[in-house]
Amino acid sequence: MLKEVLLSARDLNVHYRVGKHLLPSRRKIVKAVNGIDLDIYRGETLGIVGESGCGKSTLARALLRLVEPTDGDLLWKGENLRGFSKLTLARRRREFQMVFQDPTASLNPRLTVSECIAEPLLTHEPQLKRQEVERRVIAMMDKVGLLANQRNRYPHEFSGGQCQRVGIARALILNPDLVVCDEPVSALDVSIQAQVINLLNDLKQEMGLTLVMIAHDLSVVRHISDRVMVMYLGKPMEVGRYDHVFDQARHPYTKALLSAVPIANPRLARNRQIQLLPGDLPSPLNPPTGCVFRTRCPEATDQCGRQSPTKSGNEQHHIFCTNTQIA
Amino acid sequence: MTILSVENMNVRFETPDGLVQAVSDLSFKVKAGETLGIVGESGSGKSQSVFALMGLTADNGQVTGAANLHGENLLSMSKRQLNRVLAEKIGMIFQDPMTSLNPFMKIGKQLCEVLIFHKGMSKSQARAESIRMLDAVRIPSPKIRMNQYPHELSGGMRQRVMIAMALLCRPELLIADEPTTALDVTVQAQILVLLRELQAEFNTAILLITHDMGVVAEMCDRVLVMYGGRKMEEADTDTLFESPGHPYTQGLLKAIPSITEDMQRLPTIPGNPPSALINSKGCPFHERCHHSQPVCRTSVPSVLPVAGSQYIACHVMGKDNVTPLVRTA
Amino acid sequence: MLVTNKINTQQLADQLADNVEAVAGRSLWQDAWARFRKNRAAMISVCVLLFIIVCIVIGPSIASFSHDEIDWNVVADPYELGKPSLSSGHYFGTDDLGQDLFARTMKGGRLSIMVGFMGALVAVVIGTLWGSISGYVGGVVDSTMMRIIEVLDSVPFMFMVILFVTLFGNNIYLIFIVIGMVSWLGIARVVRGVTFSIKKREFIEAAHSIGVSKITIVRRHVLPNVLGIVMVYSSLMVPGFIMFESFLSFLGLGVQPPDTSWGILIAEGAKTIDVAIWLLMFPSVFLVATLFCFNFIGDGLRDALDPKDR
Repeated sequence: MLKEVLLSARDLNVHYRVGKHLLPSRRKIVKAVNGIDLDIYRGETLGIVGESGCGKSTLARALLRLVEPTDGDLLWKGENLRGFSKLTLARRRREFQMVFQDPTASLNPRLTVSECIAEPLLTHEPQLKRQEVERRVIAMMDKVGLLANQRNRYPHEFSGGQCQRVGIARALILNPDLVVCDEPVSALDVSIQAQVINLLNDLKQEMGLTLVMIAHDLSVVRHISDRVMVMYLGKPMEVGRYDHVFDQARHPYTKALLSAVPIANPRLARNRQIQLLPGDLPSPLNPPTGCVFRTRCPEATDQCGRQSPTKSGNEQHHIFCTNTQIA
Repeated sequence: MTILSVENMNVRFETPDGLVQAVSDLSFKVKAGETLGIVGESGSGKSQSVFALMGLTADNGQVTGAANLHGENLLSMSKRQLNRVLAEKIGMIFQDPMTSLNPFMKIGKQLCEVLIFHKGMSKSQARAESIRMLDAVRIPSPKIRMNQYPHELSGGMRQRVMIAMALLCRPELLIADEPTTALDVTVQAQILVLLRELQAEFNTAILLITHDMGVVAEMCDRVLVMYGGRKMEEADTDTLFESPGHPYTQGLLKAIPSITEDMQRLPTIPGNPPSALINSKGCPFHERCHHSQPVCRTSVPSVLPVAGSQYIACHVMGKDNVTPLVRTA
Repeated sequence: MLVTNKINTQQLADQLADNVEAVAGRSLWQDAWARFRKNRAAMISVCVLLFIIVCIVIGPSIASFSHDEIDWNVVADPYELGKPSLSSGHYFGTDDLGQDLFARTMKGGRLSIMVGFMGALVAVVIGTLWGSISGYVGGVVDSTMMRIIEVLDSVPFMFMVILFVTLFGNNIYLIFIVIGMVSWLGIARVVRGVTFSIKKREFIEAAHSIGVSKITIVRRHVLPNVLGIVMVYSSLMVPGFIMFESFLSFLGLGVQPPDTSWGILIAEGAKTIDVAIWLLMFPSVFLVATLFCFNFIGDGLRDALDPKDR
């Protein structure tokens, strides 16, 4: 079956200039996203994992042009997304929406939740009558599990989980094709986290959504994703079907990451081998040559410093590693 | 041997919106050399209960009850006495290392000051001991680090410095409040391994506050589960994970997605955490509980033993009702 | 499990039934108002201030004399015959020209308070717009707008006033213009700072990701969140303007007789402090009371709107 590619990125780069040098060209460059190739297929859930500073949030924003990519191509339903004018982009934003990490901070404290949820409607369909807007807000609130009679309340009167439901309702009210979720559950308690994950899964089925899930919690990503991309210092490490990546991880970084996750089972926890990574994340201002992971990689060879990693494996599961024994 | 025993601790706050009961009737004991975990979600009172132990309760708060450390009640001490006891007998680690590190002072100086002040060491002795301690927390080239400022170190390194500082006076008890929450998993793994090794080396008891069941499973000997300011369950770690007694613990454990297995749909605990303001007369969990009975609404269940060292506070799940939790595969 | 499901659907049905009646929420404004009302000093100040405003609005019409009318009966010996008395109709006494102090205080109050409010109004409108645009747009626009503020701020202010007065003569409008010129500088800086921090909040990014236009983001998301600070700041600024006008008038650079303001009245009263204390006392009481009120109200607003308090 041929799957439709909804959004694809080719050699996507987001670089920031930092520092205060008078000449912009002399300022140091942080390569937050460094040459990412990515296809997002309609109807799938793509999980992007990595530790803080790996560029996953920047990548999420660059995919939606919330951050302007420095270089590379973005194709949205076959159209050149980077070529959209400001006005076109604003108008097309209804097709791709975002859910944010901090549920309370992503809602304007001065607006009622129904005003928050209605905002996309007012922006993209200003001709709608007030009753129609209200009807659709109520329907949407019902869909995300909020009681409609609470619609005139303010965000500070809700718990974090409820606020995240409001955020999801706001993102979904225009029936977008793609929803990018930036750490949607990391600010929530475990019991609430499970509710929100289930909700996202249900809504995905019901509305035929495509999801991009950015997360640092690997078990959440495993649970929700169809495909997973593991990132480190702005580069992809391993990409593939979730079961391949989690059960047959091949990249040393993925292996270390998986072994570091604490398991909520004391007997298993006692017997497992933790692959401790030595040292800290290198400064993104001055990333290692060759493979960016080589300074902490247990399998690193001399070759890794000289040669950038190449893609190996098939479309179902591929890794980026210089070490030929692994690749 | 019990080193810390907390009895009937209550923490209340006077707020403009009314009285908030953050911790109610909390009792627990920490034995020498063991790791006791306190788990709970936000608002469960787990942090407020250790803040109360350390005398860090905000000004509008009121703490009652007793917390005996070798027969001395921490809760009734003067500020000065408490500070002395804390510095010499209890080490503290926080989620954010910068809460205990002075950003304007070199690390070496901060470490030495503690030793000179509390242990009466000479400058050179203190320096030697500080370097030894930095080495013990696996900080590479400790001599160089002594002359650096906290902001020059990475998050993981700062956490190590804070652990070194907490252990300087060789405390019997280390209180760790979410020590790895702000860290990445790979760094978290490093710190957890380090804490375990240091515990074996120094024979320190650890009181670990966390929301992460995974961290609990890795670290703790015994666990205390809190919800709505109350103790819901207390058991040794294996028992808690294999046959949780309280409906809340059961729900919590089921709601965690697994990293090794596929799960169809996460079992959830319905509803939202209780507001601290609404002071219901009954069990704080009754609104979200599948097993809720009328009695749960009207009276607070007392903490009773169910089997061996397992204690739960539940009207419904008596001794006979504890069913082993089967993880859905 | 089944039982709870039933309960849930029952609850849901109930709640859907009274769907029409949405529960009213409590906005941050309502919360702040509730806190403000609990602040006794601020509430008393509001009452006193309202009383003063009522006085100066209806005062001139209930006074027995108009503010520039000379009572020839007392001119012979104004310090004896012009003492405050209810029977003569000069409730606050007269000045050395025989003009009724009650009428003059009320008349002067109109001017003083108007200067205060005008200054605050100009400051709020220009300052908020300037600051929020500067802060939200950022970059070159921000630098340019801030440099303009710095240039205006570095103009020696008293010198300008004296220059204007000598060039154009004494004029009430001159004071308005001068106050308008400088009053918004401070508030624009504050608003810019606040806007800067609001801009980094996630809900602004959320609005951006929805496709909301920049103008709407400023109007709908930035301004309402800046307003609290603006309110506090402007209420604390009003006494400054009143003082400033009084100060100019005291120096003889403000309004000219027979028009008057509290500043002028105090200046005149100060000259006769040893023979006619009432000339200093009445205008001063009004001025000081007004200043106190504004300061208490400003403090009350700050406490009520401060999010840290929650």
